Formats: sequence, C-alpha cells, structure tokens
Amino acid sequence: MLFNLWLIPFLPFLGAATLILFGQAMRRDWVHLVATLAIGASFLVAADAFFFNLPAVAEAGGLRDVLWTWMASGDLTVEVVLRLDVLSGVMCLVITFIGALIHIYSAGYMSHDADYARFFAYLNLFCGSMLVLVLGDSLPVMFVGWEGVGLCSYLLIGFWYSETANADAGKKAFITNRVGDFGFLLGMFLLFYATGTLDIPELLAHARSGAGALVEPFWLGMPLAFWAALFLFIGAAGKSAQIPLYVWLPDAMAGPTPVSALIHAATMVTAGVYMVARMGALYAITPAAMAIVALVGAATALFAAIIGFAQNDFKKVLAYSTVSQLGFMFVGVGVGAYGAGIFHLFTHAFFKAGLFLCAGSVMHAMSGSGDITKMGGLRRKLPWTHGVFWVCWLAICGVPIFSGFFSKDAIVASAFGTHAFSEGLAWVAPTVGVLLLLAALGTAFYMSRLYFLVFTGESRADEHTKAHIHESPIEMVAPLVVLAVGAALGGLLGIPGALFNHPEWNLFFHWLEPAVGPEMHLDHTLELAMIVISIVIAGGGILLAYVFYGGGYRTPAHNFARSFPRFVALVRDKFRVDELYGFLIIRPIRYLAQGLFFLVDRILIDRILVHGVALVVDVFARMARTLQVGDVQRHLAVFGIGLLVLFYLAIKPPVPDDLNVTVEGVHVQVDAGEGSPISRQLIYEFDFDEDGLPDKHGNTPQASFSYEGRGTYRIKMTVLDPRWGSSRSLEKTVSIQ
Amino acid sequence: MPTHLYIMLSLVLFLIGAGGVLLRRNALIVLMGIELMLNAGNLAFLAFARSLGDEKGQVFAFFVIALAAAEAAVGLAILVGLFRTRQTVNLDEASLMRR
Amino acid sequence: MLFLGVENASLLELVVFAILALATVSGAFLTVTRRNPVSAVMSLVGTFFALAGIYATLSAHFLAVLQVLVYAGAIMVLFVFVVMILNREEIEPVAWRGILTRALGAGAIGYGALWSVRLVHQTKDAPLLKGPAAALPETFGTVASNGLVLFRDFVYPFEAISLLLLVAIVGGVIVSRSHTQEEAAVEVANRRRAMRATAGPERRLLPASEEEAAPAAHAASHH
Repeated sequence: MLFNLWLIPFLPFLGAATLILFGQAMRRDWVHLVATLAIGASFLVAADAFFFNLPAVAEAGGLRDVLWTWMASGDLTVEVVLRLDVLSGVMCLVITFIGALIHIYSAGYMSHDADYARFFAYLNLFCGSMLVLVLGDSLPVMFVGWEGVGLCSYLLIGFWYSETANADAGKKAFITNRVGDFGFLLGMFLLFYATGTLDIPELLAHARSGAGALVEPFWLGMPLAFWAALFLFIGAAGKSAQIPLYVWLPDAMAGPTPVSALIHAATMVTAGVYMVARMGALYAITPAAMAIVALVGAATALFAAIIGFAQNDFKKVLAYSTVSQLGFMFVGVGVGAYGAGIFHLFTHAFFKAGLFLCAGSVMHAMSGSGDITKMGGLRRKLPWTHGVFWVCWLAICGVPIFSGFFSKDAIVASAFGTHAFSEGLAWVAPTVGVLLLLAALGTAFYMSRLYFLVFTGESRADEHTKAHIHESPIEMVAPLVVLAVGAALGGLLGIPGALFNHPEWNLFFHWLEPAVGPEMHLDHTLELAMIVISIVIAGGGILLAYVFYGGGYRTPAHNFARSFPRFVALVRDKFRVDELYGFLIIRPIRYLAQGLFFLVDRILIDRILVHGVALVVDVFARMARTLQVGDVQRHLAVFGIGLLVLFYLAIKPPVPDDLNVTVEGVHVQVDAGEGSPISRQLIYEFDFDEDGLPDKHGNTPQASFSYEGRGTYRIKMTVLDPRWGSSRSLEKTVSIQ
Repeated sequence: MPTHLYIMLSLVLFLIGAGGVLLRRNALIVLMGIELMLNAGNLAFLAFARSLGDEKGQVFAFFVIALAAAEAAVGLAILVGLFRTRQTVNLDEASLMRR
Repeated sequence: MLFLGVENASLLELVVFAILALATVSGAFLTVTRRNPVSAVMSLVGTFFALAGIYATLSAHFLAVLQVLVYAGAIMVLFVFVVMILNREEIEPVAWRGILTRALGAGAIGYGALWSVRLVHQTKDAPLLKGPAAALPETFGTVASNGLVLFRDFVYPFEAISLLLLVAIVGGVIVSRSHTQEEAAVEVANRRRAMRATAGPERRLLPASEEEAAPAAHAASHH
C-alpha cells in the first residue's frame, strides 16, 4: 500500500491550515469533518505502517525517512528525518487514535462555542506537532515538535482568553514549559559538544559504545553523559509536569475539557516519558541520572497524590492524578524498565482520557460546575457516564483485570527488582519502590473519594441544578465507551510472564523490544509478591475511601477535618507551592523587570536618548538661530569673521600633489614640481631626518640628501610664504636598504 | 613720505570704524562708524594714487565721497523714520524678530 | 605746501604727519566711544579736518578741499540736524544683544587689521609702498587735473553718480515723510490716477499741472 511516513504529521497540519484559513467561512459540519478526517487518515496511515510495513524492518531500527537537509553549517548537519519504529509507532497509534476519539467528542462538547473552527484548527495543529515530536529521529526535529506542542498547549489552555484567568493559565503553562525547554537545549548542546551529531541513532550508538567524550568526566567529576541526561530530563520535567515544574498542569484545567483529556492526559505530558525512553541508551550509561529520574518521579507521584486528597474541583483531582501517574511512568523509565513505563503510558492514555471526558460529561450535566462538594448520586442520572467512569476508576486504582493493574504492577515490580543501580546507589531502588507503593495507595484513595462523592449517595446540588442534570448526547458518549473498553482490556496486552508462566503472552513488551531492549528479567517470586501487594493496596485504598466518603461525606471525614484543620487546609492549598514560587522567583524577577523598565525605558530611552537628542538639536538650533535674528551688527560680525577665515585660507601657499622621491642607495632626490609662480616668492624647506629641523631649504622644490644608515624615514617638505607668514607641508615615507 | 605709514593709518581708522559699527548701540554712532570706514578707504586710495602717480585713485575717492553723501542722507532719513515709530534709536530694541 | 614725493622724507614732513595722524586717530576713537551723540558728531568733524590735512600731504588738494566742503561741511551738518531731532543721551553705550558674536567679529577684524599693519610694515620696502618712484608733476592732484580725468575718462560714472544723488534725494524725502504727509501724498496720487483714467482724450495730453493746484491747495488747507 502506498504510504509515506511524512503523511502522518502532514495530514493534521493540512487540516489545521485549512481550518485556519477557511474555518470561519465553513459550516460547522464541514469544520468537524475536515479535522476528524485529517486525524483519522493519519491514524490509518500510521496503523498501516505499524502493522504491515514495520514488522519487516523492526529489528533493523524501523522505517526511516530522510526528508530534507535542514541545516548544514560548519560541523553541524541536521536533517529532517522521521523514523517509525516500534516505540514511535505505538506512540503514533495512541496519539492518532485517542486524538480521533476526542475530535468526535469535541463536536458535541464545543457545539455551542463560537470559536468552533479555531478549536479544531488548534487541535489538529497540536496533533501534528506531537506526531513530529515522536517521529523525529533527530533531536532538533524532536525539539520542533516539543515546542509546537508547548505552543498549542498555550493556545488551547487559553482558548477562552476573554477570561483573564484562562489567559494567565496558558501563560503559566508556556513559561514553565520554557524553563524546561532551556534544559532540553542545554542537553542538546552538551550532546553535540561530545559527539558532534544530533542524530538520535548516532547519539545512541555513541552511548552504547561506552567510550568517547560522553563518559569522560565533565563537571564536578560527573561524566558528560550524566549532565546531558540530566538537562534533557529537566526538559522532560517541564513538559511532563514533574517536580519542580508541575505547577502549570492544575492551572491548565482552565481549558476546555477535551483539551485536558488529549493534551494533559494522553499525549503532550507523555512526551517527556517518551523522550527518556527513546534516549534510553544514553541514560543506561549514567546510573546517577537514572536515579535522579526515578527519585523525582517517585517523589512527584506521592506528593501529587497527597494533594489530590483534598481537592474539591473534579478536574483538579484528575490533574494531580495525572501528575502522579506521570511520576509512575518516570520511575518506570528511570529504573531501566522502559517497556513498563511506556506500557503505563499506553494504559494511562486510555483511562485518563476516559476519566477526563467523563468529567466533561458530568460538568456538562451540572451546568458547568466542577465542584464535587455539590455533586452526589449521579450514578442514577448519568448511567453511561457512570459506567465509563467506573471502569476507568478501577483501572487507575490498579484493580486486577483492568489495564492499570498490569501496567502499574509492572512498574512497581521493576522498581524493586531492577539491576540498574550498583553499590553506591543501591538504596535508590527500594526507596523508589516504597514511595511508589505509598503513591499507589494514595491513588486508590483519592480516586475512590472522587467516585464516591460524585456518583454515590444523595445529591448535594441545589434544586435548579438538579433539574438540569441529563446524560450527554450520543456523540459524546460513544468515544467514552470506546475509551472504557480500551481501559478495561488494554492491560491484557501486557500480562506479566510470571503470572501464568507464559512469557510470550507479554505482547506489548515483545513489540517494544527492538527499540528499548529486552524486558527486565525479574525474579518470579518478586513478581508474584508484587502482584499480591498491589491488589492489597488497591483494595485497601478503596476501602479507606469508602469509610470516609462512601455515599457522601461521612463521620470519619468530618472528624479528620476537625482534628487537623490546618493540615487539611495546607493540602487543599497544594502545599502553597505556587505561593512559594511566587515569593522566591517571581517577585524578584518582577522587581528586576520593573527596575529595568524604569532604568532603561524611562531614563535611558525616554530621557537620555529621545529627549536628549531633542535637547541637543535644540541647543544647536538655538545657537544657529541667533545668527538669523535680523541683527545687522551680528551679521557684519560674522561677515568679518568669515572674511578672516577666507583670507587665512587664501594665503596658504600652493603645494604639489606628491613628492617624487627617487632613491639611489643612500641618496634620495626629491622633486616636487615646477616651483612657485612668479608673483609669489616661496621658500621650500625639507626635513629629511624627522628631527623637526629643516635640513635643506631653497627657492625651488628640489632637494637631495644622503642618509647614514638604512631604515624607514619620513621626508617632510614645508612650503613657506614669507610675505604672509603662512605655510603648508607634505610628507612622504621612504625606506632605505 | 613713505606710503606704508598712510596705509597703516588707514587700517587703524578702519578698525576703529568697524569697532564702532559692531559694538555701539546708538544707530547714529553706527552710521558715523560707517563714515569712518569709508574715509579709511579713501585714505588708502589717495595714498596709492600718489605712490603710483596715477590720478585715477583720486577720482575714485571723489566718487566715494559722493556716494557717502547719498548714503548718509538716506540712512539718516531711515533713522528719523525709525525714531518716529519707536521713539528710540536704540538698536537693541529695533528688532521685531525674537531674540 | 606741496611736498615732493622724494625718497627721504624730511623731519618736518614726519612731524606734520605724526600730528595729523594723532589727531585723526584720537578723533576717530572719541567718535566711537562718546555717549553723547553731540560729542561724537563734533569729534567726527574734527577727525575729518585732520584727514583733510593728511590728504593735503598726499598731494590730493582737490580732495582735501572737497573733504572739508562736503564731508565736514554738508554731511556732518546733516548729522547735527538729526542729532538735534533725536536728542537722547544714552545710558549704556554698548549694545549687549548678541555681544559675543559681535565682539568676536570686531576681534577678527581687529586681528586682521593689526596683522595687516604688521604686514605692511614688513613689506614697506616694496615698490608699491615706497612712495612715488619719480617726482610728481606739479599739477598732480589739482582741480584742473582731476577734472580732466573725471570728465574725460570717467564721464559715465560721473553721470551715474549724479543720478544716484538724485535718487538719494528723492528717497530721503520719501522715507522721512511723516504719517500724515504720507497719507496725503498717497491720496493725491490716487486722485490723479482716477482723473486721468476718466479724462477725455484731450485732457490726457495736458501736463498734470492743472490738477495739481487744486489738490495741493486742498492738502495745504488740511494742515
């Protein structure tokens, strides 16, 4: 079948361009059709490539397509090259499939919005950028996609920009991303410095060789690979909302819910995880960097989970949940279990997108409010939504059979059983594992809290809202169902070998082998123990939540809130991290900006340059103006001065253009022309030895002189007019051998 | 009678006349300075006429005197007119333009 | 009193020249430095007399007399008349407006003048500055001799200068007319023009004398 790799990102871009240019004039149905067709076609091409063309070349590195040479300057050559191997192929499928589902969902969700075409244009643009990101086989190309999704995130979060809060949230996302991107750039620079290339296969080959500039100590005794990996991870932390750059994600919930589902659950935030997995060989040679990745991921997972305990906005809970689950993924790739990390990415995309779309459904039903303190008992009123939510909830908690169980378990087991860390860092693995277990417990707790408070018990809404609660239309429900199916059954792709002693059933990991290496070999006992522990934790979390919140706010919840009011407030205020950043970072920068504004803008530019120039002109103009007042005496005075000047210039004696110097050995002969006109008696003085005293003089411009030694001399001829006392001189340099 | 002495005298007279023209405030004095300068020129003409033995210089000085007369007449008439409108011959105040 | 232009000037000549030069310079200096315009006029008259004497030593007899008659006699009288009309004593002799430029100009001219003096002194042996090379004829500088040159070689400039004097006279009269005189003259001219326009062909040939009488008497009766 005829296909081209570049079609995959190109089709969404084409859709975006069409909608940007003509969207306003098109009918709504057409807008939606164009956008969904674009992404759907992209999915078809990707699927065709992945299932039919890829297997043949999977071992050899996948399908690679060099499109054109972007820049070739000096030592740097960057080509625009796309590669579809198993890793990027999986990502492409996820992006295009879930993207298509969300396009369908958005038709219903955004049907009342005036900026319909703009929304779909941005969605397509985003999908195209994300596809460039995952297909890019060269770091700059990936960076283009990286920045592109950052831009689209900004555009889509601040979609309803007429509300300042939304615009601010978009700005926050973009700026925080940028901080991370700076790290990414530094990582790129270091890698280029060490290896001279930015092409990913070449970089990974350098890394695998275990030699060269990458492994030499660079700074503080750590090898260059460590720093490069660390900086790249900083970029990933910005994009994927890890500590300390996660603060934008909860605010990003200000955007439309489909945006939150696509970008901040399934695709953009997973870019960081993808990047680390892709650069796996680089990380493999720096256990220290891997340790940092794993630790940050685990800490983030637990931290975000705790914050999720006390949030009262539906989407905020899901946002922190995303941050937490991303932490899980980073642990996966951080301990070397790349397959596990990507598998969790895969399952998470399904159930988190499903959860977000359910949130959209619920908020739609609750007349736009997301306040869970006012919800309750929606199980009866929104059956379909409830069903989907139920499936995704169980998946995220890690209840067996549903997908989340398999992926989460794979990560936790790998964390405990990894061999990536040797003596100095041996403490990392158990620490990370324990943190993850606690985070899993927390996940189960807060998600169950959400479920119980929203769907069970009696409704706590007011009468007006209650009257309007209704299920969403079919075009919004259908994608939900598809996602639920995926969330339910997706796990079956990655059944751990230990469970049934059939390693070959672990399809997902086998697929990924060519790209990320073989699946981590874990002790069977460890695996089985982890399975049991995971089930216990999931069940324990749900039970705890039931005790607190089953069917509404129960007594234990009230007691707890009463006993520890300050702690509860702190957690609800997300540990005041935003305030901390504001105090530590934003305030000084604002002062600096204000100071600079005052200094440079007000004083330097406005006063000194603009007014100053005007002032200088004014001063000169004033001086010049005085001559034109009409004061005859002044005119006469200037007349007299001018006369004097002219006279002075007129009495200067004429001087020929050039001294003709002829050199014969040490003897020089100067001949400067015909001499003075008859009416003027001129005296010619020659200074040959640069002592300021004339050596020869006469009435004609000819003279000769003999030098003592060799060197470079400057001959000066002065013409004097004895009558007027004026003179002029001419010089020439001569060198004597 | 060495001519150069006359020329030097002529230059000094010219200088004094020019100083009066440029520096004085009273318009009358300015006109008188102009007369001085004209006379300095006359002196130079006559000195060179004698030195060269050519009477053309003297004829020219004759013309200069006639011209000076005409110029003095018209100049003073203007001055009188100025006095009539401004009640002053003070040159500092005789300008309509801004300083 | 004819001094023959000989190379070696006698002591008497030098003394006379010195006295007259001193008188000239001091008179000029006083002219430009007096506050009282009458004093200035008087010193200028004195200066001109001294200058006439110097002209005489230069064998320019005609010019010397002319200087006294015309310059000191007529022009300075005119000055005196005007001074009498505008009799104001100055408070400050020097005009301060834009003094910098003017002082600079005066300085420049002064520098040029003094430097020229030095130059003249340096080149005083040049043939041009030495005095008459040969003895001058007896008739040098007399009325007849000057007149001959004037009416033979310079007759056109002579006529032109008389025209100039005429123009100066008319100009002087017009410029110094008072306001009412001005208005009257304008009115007369307008009336004359109107009458000439409406007049019949015979009237146009007549000189304008007849119409003059009536308006002139008319104007006279006003004042």
